[in-house]
Amino acid sequence: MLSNDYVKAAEKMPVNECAGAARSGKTLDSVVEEQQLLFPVGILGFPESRHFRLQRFRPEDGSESPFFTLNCLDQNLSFALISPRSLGLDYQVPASDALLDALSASAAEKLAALLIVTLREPIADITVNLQGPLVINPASSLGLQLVIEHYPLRYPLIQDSAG
Amino acid sequence: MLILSRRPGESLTIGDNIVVTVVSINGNQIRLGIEAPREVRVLRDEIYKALREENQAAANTEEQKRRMEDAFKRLRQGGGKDAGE
Repeated sequence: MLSNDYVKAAEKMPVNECAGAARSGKTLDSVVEEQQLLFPVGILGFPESRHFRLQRFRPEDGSESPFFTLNCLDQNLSFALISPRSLGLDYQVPASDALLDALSASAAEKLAALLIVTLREPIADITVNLQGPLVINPASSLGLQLVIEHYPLRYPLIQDSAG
Repeated sequence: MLILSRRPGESLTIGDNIVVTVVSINGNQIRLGIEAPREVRVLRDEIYKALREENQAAANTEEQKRRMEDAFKRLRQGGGKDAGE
């Protein structure tokens, strides 16, 4: 009620009532093959990690891959990312004015969401973090980790194909 | 830990630009209002901790990057979800 914090704003905004909801990965094609990004407040748990290089993963055989790598330029740290669209989910990021502001974006359609993949062994245990998407504005090279409480923290990457 | 007593409607100020107000008390539940600059992230503690832990679990060091690429390749072969177009 009092805070104008973008996280709070997002939390209070039901996704289906959010006119400007950025459809997952809608603009992902505008994410270039490789781009430097600034996360002004870092990533949760890594407040000092601000400068990153986002790179689309290119298998040696030249085929398509849904994965990206996000390498930190400030410390020895990298994340595996995946586009929500690759998961076949109707994943929506509530795009408040405060979020657009924070990323210097003129419209929600300019934003792209990528999800952090937690690699585990065996690969069936690998999960994707739907609760803390990285939302980036390719045009301004700004990014932040949003928190969407109603999405799961550990969503299995490989869904049982049974049924 | 600094401990202060406040009544509903009363506030406390942290630094120059964070104000926490007790909005109401209902049984064992307290509603707080928080005014903070946009760049200050305000989260329920359990949500913050779970996300921080997950990020830490997901973080790969330079040495683990090869593992990451191996996993990407295996996922393509292993019948995982392919990029749907």
